[in-house]
Amino acid sequence: MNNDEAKKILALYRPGTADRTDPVFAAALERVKPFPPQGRWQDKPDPELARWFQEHCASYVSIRTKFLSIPVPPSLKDHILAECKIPSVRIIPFRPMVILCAAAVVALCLGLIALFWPSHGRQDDFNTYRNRMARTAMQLYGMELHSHDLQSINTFLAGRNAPADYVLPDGVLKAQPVGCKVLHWQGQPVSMICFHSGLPLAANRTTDLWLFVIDQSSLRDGPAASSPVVAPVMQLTTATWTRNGKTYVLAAAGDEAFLRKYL
Amino acid sequence: MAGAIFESLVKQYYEPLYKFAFSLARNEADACDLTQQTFFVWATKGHQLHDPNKTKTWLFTTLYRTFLQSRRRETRFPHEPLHETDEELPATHPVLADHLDWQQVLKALGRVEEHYQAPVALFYLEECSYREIAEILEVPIGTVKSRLARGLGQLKRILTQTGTLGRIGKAQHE
Repeated sequence: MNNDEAKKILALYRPGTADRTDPVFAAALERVKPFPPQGRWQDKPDPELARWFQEHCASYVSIRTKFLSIPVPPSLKDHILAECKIPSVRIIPFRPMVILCAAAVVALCLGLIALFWPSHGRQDDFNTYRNRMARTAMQLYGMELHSHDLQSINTFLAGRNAPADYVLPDGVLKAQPVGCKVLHWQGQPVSMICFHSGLPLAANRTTDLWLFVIDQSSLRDGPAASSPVVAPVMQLTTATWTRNGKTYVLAAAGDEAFLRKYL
Repeated sequence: MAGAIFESLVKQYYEPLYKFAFSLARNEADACDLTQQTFFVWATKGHQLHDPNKTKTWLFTTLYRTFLQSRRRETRFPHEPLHETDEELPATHPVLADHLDWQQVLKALGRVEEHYQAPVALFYLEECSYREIAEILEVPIGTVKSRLARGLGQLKRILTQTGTLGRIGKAQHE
């Protein structure tokens, strides 16, 4: 192995990892060891190669440190645990017939629970959806399209297979469109259209009104009413309604009176 | 019991997954969404994984798939075996990243060609073996190495420019 070959291999070497035990790297590493493994050099070490390797390792550690210092939102873990609950399952080895009977009983119980208490314990319900959309609005999200033109926004959304044939409330037409983004809920596309009411905005903000549109069929228990139902969610006020197969959530950074101006 | 296992899994992996997601999406909301969606998929389909040793790879693969889906990146990238890219393997530049912060490094990663970004992020972020990176990206190891060679070359060239410019700017400011 010559120096060029060793360099090509060691360019992908990560110090401090299991790479050192990889036979491909191990052979190249022999070329930069300060002392030969068996008391004698098979190939004479090159000081230039050793210096290059030192720089490579220092560069790796330095860049890795930057990646590792990406800050993680402190509430993320709690959000995940709140939204992704899985049912407790206890697995006990039984004979097949017993398992079948137990499965039948469990299915019956689940059916009864679903019939009489449909929203209990489910994390895919409308409230969770609405909370998720409100939280997205409150975060410093990045819009995928910045535009004041609704036609451009709708073309973009349609191109991403997100709902684009929505109907805006008359009030929202008074606000200025700012852009849009496609989100996903349970694997289904959600159109997020961002507006600015014209009022002064908080720091780092360009929007204070957000409309989320999803196909009604993507929600298990979305609102059936076509007239908006207003409810506070976190620091926002939301209005929700369903019309022509689409479920809408309009979120506003303001109180109910502010929101109602845009309905 | 299942809830406790899930909580332990979240505790162990949510930070590296978020950092990988942030490296790809480069904004907090999308990175949060990707991380949450990954664990949601785990909560609904994780029981299908029979080998617990594959959990880490499964989670990273799921996140990466979700990212690609969210970007409508349905076309597969061509495989480029290592021997085809020998001439493009990077030379290591002096350490300039010391003068940069993580935002600048991620900004530089964002300027790297898109299909090299995930391997580069995994190269630096998570101590995955090359075999694991290949499983996460669902490509052969040779393709991982060729993409890495090109991606690292691009990243280091960009960082060299950024670091040099940053130092010149700083010197002028001082």
